[in-house]
Amino acid sequence: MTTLIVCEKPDAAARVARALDEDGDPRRSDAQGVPTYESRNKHESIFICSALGHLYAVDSKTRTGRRFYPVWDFDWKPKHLIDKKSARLARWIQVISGLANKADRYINSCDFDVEGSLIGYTILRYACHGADMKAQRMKFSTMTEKELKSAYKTLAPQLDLPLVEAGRTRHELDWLYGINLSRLLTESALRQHRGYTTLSTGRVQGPTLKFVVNREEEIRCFTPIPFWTIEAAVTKDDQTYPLEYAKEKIPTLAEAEQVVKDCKGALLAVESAESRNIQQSPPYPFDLSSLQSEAYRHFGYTPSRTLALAERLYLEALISYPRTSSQKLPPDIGYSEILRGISNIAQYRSLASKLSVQASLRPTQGLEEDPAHPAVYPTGESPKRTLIQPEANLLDLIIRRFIAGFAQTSLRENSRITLKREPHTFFLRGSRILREGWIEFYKPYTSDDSHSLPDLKVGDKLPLSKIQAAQKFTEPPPRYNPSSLLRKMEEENLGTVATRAEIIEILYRRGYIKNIRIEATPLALKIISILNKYCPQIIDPSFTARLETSMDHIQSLQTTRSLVLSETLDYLRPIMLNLIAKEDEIGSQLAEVVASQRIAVITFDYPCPQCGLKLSIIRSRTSGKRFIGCAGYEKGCRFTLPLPQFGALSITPTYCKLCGFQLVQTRTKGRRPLTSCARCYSSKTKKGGFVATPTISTSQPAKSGLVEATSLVKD
Amino acid sequence: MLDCSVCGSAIEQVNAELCPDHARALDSVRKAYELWALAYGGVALADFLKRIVMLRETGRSAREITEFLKQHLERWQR
Repeated sequence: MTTLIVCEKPDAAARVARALDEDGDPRRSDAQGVPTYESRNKHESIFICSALGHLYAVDSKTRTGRRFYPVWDFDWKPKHLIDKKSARLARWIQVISGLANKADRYINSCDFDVEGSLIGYTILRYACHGADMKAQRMKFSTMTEKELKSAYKTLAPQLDLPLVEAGRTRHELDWLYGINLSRLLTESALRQHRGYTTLSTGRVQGPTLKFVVNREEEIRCFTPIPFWTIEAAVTKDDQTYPLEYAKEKIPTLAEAEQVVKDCKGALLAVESAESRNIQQSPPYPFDLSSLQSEAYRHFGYTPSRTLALAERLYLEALISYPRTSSQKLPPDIGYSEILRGISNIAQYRSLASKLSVQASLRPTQGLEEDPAHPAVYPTGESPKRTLIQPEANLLDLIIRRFIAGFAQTSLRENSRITLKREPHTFFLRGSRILREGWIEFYKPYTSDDSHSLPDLKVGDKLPLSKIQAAQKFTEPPPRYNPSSLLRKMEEENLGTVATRAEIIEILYRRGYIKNIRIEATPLALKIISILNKYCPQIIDPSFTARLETSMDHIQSLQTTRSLVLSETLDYLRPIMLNLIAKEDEIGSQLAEVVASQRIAVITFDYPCPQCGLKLSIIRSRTSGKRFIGCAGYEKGCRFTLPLPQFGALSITPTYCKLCGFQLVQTRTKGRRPLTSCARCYSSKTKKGGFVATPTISTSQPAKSGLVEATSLVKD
Repeated sequence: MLDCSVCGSAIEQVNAELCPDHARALDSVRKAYELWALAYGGVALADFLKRIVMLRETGRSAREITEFLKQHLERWQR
């Protein structure tokens, strides 16, 4: 018997092949540069191939032009026929088809989620000549040898078709929305002859951008209101303790002054002293969103970067599948075996041994569930190579979260002493840890805000050592950051765990948002104002959330793909026709802001050091490379500076601490944004590296000679 | 079609002098003035405008409309 197993990525294929080969040494071949494996055991020969993400995608059935709209007919086509950048996928399909001819049994071994099921399904259906009908499904949550072997022995007899149907619908709906609306926006602006810019919106992108724009408008229109707080303190045994006034914010100056007048030089009497013990449960296991949020909080990794790092750890069998919504760890993952594995890593040995003396191992469980995968957990395997710092950081976070989940609750004593000077009330608050419990296991990812209180009894009196009214002003609402925006999407049920981070990256790439504390650009404000005016339904988060629910219903067989598609088409068609009728109006509004943004995003505020004219980012017509050039070129100024050639480039509002030049930021998918100074880099390379090199304050080395700018940014 | 008195962008609404952004900012500044007057027990309009322009918490559009109002106090009346 010959079996063909389809995996999602080449690394996954290599791991599956090693696990299924009886000697752990499968034969690798590289036909046309496409890696495939042959594993052998006593009974059969197993061919293992991999996809490279999706090999097939949705495209118009009849219209091949990329500029035509509206398009309502669609079909699944090989991706290399749709997108020139995917040309190499043609070889992939050819190799897989060749292997399919030799096989008489087919297995989809892609990640067990909507995308994985769909990737495998389209390959089996289109590249393996309709093998989807007879294919089996291999399900696993970690890539450890043991689990892969067990998954191969317990194959599901057929593909997970409800998941596939939900995935197909998602792609088709997103395509219908994205293609029609984005082409309309792009083309209507292009027809005004003010230059080309890709403008996009979509089912999830539009409502997400609307959150940012709404926040931007709130911040822009914000007017601060004054209020006062009472800053007071008492001293006991030469130690000063800050007091909290009963009213947090005082709205009028007169009232604040009255409090100060009443209490100045007064003795405060202790009215009561209370304390209570609070048990804090260990944190629940990580689902992807909470992992992204925690990684952003502790390491500053954007959600897309955390996902990319987690996927690498998963492919190395160090953690379980990260694209999960579950916050639960079922017993069948083998708690004690994982802990045994973790105890083999020196830095966790003592912590893991503390857990091993517990009578029973029961982790804290969160509320969220995912039928496909448990929460993210470490496999207990030790890394086979030296991990780069961000990978090591993320793995450490996941391991500590996992072991903390088995630890005891922590016990904290919160105390409050009430002090009175009629009619005014003050509080002294203190807190201390009585039992560390899980906190010991989750260090350094917990903060300790313990502070002690003076020894006071009811009836004691002590003088105020300080009292004053401090004037403050209300603050505008905070800007979103990639992590809080992702949480907002999750709250509003926009997108899935797998797609949210990518949507935020697209908003950056399109020039709709900028900076880590997210700011909406004029282009974003215009796009949302146009969509709000002409088709508010498209950016209504509740409509997108309803569609998400419909797709969940397809998965649970409560509705069908065709029903959801026809309802959506009925909804989208009149909206598109209405927009098409007004495309001139829309185009003229867009073209203006597109043109001004195009100039703004490539022009530096910092003038040319040689002639004082404007500097901007220029792409060479001959080499295609980008660099910084001077507007005075035609007058003879030849000042240039080099730029990174890969990734989306943006000019930041911050300046280099060393030379004062404006910093640029490069964003590459799945990597940390790199902020660098084009001028210091230039001096360093041109003069042979003798210019003062700034200290690198992060744990990562500087890349490609570009200086990590964390320590360079002027305050 | 008229232009916004503050930023010069086109206004589509009939009888409006400000774009939606600056109209909203004006509304916010007006509401704030009432609260400032309560907070201080009365404050001169000119002082109020002068102070909010200097505060870092003031938003961009609110700042722009305030600068405009400082030059055209007569526009304060609704």
